[in-house]
Amino acid sequence: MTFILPSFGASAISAVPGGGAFTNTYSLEYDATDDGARVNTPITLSTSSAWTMSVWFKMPSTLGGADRSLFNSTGSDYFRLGSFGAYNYVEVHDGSLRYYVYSSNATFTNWTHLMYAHNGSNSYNFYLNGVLETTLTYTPSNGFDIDWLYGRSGTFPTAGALLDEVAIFDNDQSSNISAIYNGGVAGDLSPYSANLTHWYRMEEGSGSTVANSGSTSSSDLNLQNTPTFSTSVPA
Amino acid sequence: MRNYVIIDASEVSSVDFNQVLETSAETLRFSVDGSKTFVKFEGDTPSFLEGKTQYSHSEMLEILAGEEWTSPDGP
Repeated sequence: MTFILPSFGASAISAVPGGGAFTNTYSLEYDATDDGARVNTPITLSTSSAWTMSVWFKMPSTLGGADRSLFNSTGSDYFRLGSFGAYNYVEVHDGSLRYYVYSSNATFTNWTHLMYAHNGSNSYNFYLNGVLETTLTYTPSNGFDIDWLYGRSGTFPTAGALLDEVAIFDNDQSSNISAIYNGGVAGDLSPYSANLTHWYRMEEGSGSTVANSGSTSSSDLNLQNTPTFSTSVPA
Repeated sequence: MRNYVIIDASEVSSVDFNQVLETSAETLRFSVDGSKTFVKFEGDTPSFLEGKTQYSHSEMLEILAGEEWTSPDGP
């Protein structure tokens, strides 16, 4: 179990990578009742090769002790957002392994950037808002599976949230964290397109699917039970 | 504005998914014991839901926060 209480150092706002052509108008909004978004083709992130997850999220209200999960699998892989006392935390649940990262840097009611980067061995860098919170070292028995981005069917609790610019890379993007966090402004990820397998921009604005702008085919998001699109974005 | 209606699980077969915002019977959220589910809609009340109690979004959130709907162990 990992407990860390880092100070929060705000980064200077940097130029948006890729120039002025990049625009971000919409995020995906879940209504906290039964909304979900399922990946058309489930994703398995290997234990033996490098990868990175990157997501912007915002909760509409304080957690109040409730748990909310990002990147759910049908099994036991997920990130759980929660709170305990004065601190929010992110629980990394990779199979039977659980790690809790408590941080004063985790004010989930503001747009928050989470990045989790695996080096291909047994090291996982955990970033919140561009800050390396901790490096976890473990060896899971299986890869990290992703079936839902947020919310899921069944009796499990779902929760309201805004999600934007969800990305998965097939390499370790730790060296690019400053550019990806971009001073708190979701930026253009196309400079990393060679390794960008999944990129859900949420720019559709309506409809029941979100296109994968990454390189993996047949991996669009199927929206379940009509989540909506919000003009609140990390900008 | 979205409206929410709780129905018995036995009534799922009567739901017209063209008139509600849920995608299909497979994506419905059920109560912990599986006896109830709910649907949501915007605009006019679908005919098959007429006469049933309608809840606002905030009211539905309160209901779903209870033990009847939320398993304490779920992700």
